[in-house]
Amino acid sequence: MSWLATGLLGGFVGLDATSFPQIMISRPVVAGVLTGVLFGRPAEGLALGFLVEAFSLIILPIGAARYPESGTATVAAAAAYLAATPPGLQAGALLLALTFALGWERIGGQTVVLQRQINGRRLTRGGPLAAEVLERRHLGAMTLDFVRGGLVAAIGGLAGYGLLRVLAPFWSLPHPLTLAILGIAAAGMLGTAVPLFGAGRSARVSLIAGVLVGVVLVLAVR
Amino acid sequence: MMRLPWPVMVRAFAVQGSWNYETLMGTGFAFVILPALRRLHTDPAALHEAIRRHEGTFNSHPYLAPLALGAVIRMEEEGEDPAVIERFKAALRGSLGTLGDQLIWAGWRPLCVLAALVLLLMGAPWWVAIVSFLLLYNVLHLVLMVWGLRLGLAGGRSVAERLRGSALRRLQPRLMAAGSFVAGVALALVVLRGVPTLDMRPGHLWIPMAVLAAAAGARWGERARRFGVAAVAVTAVAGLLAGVVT
Amino acid sequence: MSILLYRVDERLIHGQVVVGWGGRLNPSRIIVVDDDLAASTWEQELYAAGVPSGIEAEFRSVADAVDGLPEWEGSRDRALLLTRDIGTMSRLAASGCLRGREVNIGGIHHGPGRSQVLHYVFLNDAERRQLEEMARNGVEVVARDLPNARGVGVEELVRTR
Repeated sequence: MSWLATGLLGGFVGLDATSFPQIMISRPVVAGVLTGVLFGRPAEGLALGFLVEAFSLIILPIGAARYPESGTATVAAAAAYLAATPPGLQAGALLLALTFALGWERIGGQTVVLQRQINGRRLTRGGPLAAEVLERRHLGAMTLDFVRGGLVAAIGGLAGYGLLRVLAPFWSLPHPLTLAILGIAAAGMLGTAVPLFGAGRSARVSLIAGVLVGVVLVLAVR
Repeated sequence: MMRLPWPVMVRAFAVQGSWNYETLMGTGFAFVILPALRRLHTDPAALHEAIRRHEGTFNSHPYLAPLALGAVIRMEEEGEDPAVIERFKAALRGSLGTLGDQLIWAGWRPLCVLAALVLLLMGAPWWVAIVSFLLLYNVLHLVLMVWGLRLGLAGGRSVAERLRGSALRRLQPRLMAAGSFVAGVALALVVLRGVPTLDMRPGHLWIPMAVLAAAAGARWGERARRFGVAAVAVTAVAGLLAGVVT
Repeated sequence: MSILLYRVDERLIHGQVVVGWGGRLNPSRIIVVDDDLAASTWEQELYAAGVPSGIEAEFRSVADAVDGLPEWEGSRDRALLLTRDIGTMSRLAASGCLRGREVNIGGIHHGPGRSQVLHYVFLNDAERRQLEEMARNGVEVVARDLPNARGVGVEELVRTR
């Protein structure tokens, strides 16, 4: 039941990434939370979504370049983690799930390439299509993309679940140390967002202003 | 005020639905413009001819595709020479791609994502961060698409002049500055408070380590990401091996 | 030398060039070489609409470019030179002014008579011959869509059919 739901969610997330409607439920932080809601544990879905999101900040879909598909990988890894662990944050399993997501997103990216090759064969070979045929095949391509996203999420979820069930019990680093490692990784990856916004003087000034405001915020909250 | 062609507007959200390496967004462009062509050509043979002309290579940022669609619809309505329309599409596609890549993919989207992460780093509940991210992000997404379609319909072949004078060009540097600012806030928060979504309390070594990591990320960008992925994978293997051995 | 990149890209000025390469090379000038475009202002307007502030775009004919290249290469401006087809770049190469330079093949898409070589490169036989001719004219031809991507040399480009 929950794997079917994972597949459906994966379908919407995969579709959203390029095909339709690109409202960004395919961002890892959103996809992670949605998977968490599906399993009744949004906070843990968020924990994984946050980490994958930090790793995705610097990946831009520019032009026809290939890129990893982080959304469906987040659904897969979050579902695997949530299905394999009892409620309550398990640092070791979380780190393993993150590792899995960072690998699975490349597989997902490969399926996107395959999908686009199939689209090319169906819609461009043999000359231009008549209006009705074009419409049918365009919608067919979107359906295929939905199925693709669903399969990437569900198969990834099941594979990740199996791996976590087998491997997670062997995790030996202490809980606080594992969390600290994940935190440091997140801090480093948040840093990668800085060069996105340019390297000029105004970028530096804005960055420093942001840091100062952040410090003030922390002091105010405390 | 001109009437917006709603079927085109709705379909425009699926303009990348049949993205392929042969024509890029081309077949999607034809799919989206089809309702407008149907209105223009009641004769099946003429419709046939018109749709075939639009299945060739096209590309754009998806959110700016309505601008090209609007302009092409206008030109089709005015009975413009098909060869000119073809050259128009070829000339515009790079510009719309560039503008959108900078404005959205390298500007607005990471800015909104970082704003959501800042909320989370400050300890906001998950639904506050996620709902405000989706709302904030999609306001510009929607506005841009509707605005683009209108601008295209109004401008036709000379849409570039209107584009040049538009607020869009002035928006980009501001987005970049705002992005840097929010990145700065996020980094200060993560260094001083740790990562609340991980439910962790920063220990005494946290601040120097986090500063180091964030600075490395900022300095090396994409290379830092590759290093980060490798580091997580190595930690995963090490943490498991240590458990198997002991 | 201040022409930082010679690139063949059907789309001319677009995201990969401005964000991808521009982010790395930080140019102040983009020179498009194309005989048709140099004579068509309404198209120039469209092609230039995406150029970010701080970068100037200009459109030159091949003859202009052959005359101008020595000066551009000596100038302190940081420039990218783009053509939208292999033919135009090979005419520049034939004049000898690209000897020892690297020419980047960035994006040639599907079209009649073309077959796929890479995800972003489709070539017909005439274009394959032009690439080989450029190589004989002392140009290093490398296909690479983005700065971090793997470069593909001329032998591999002309071999695949």
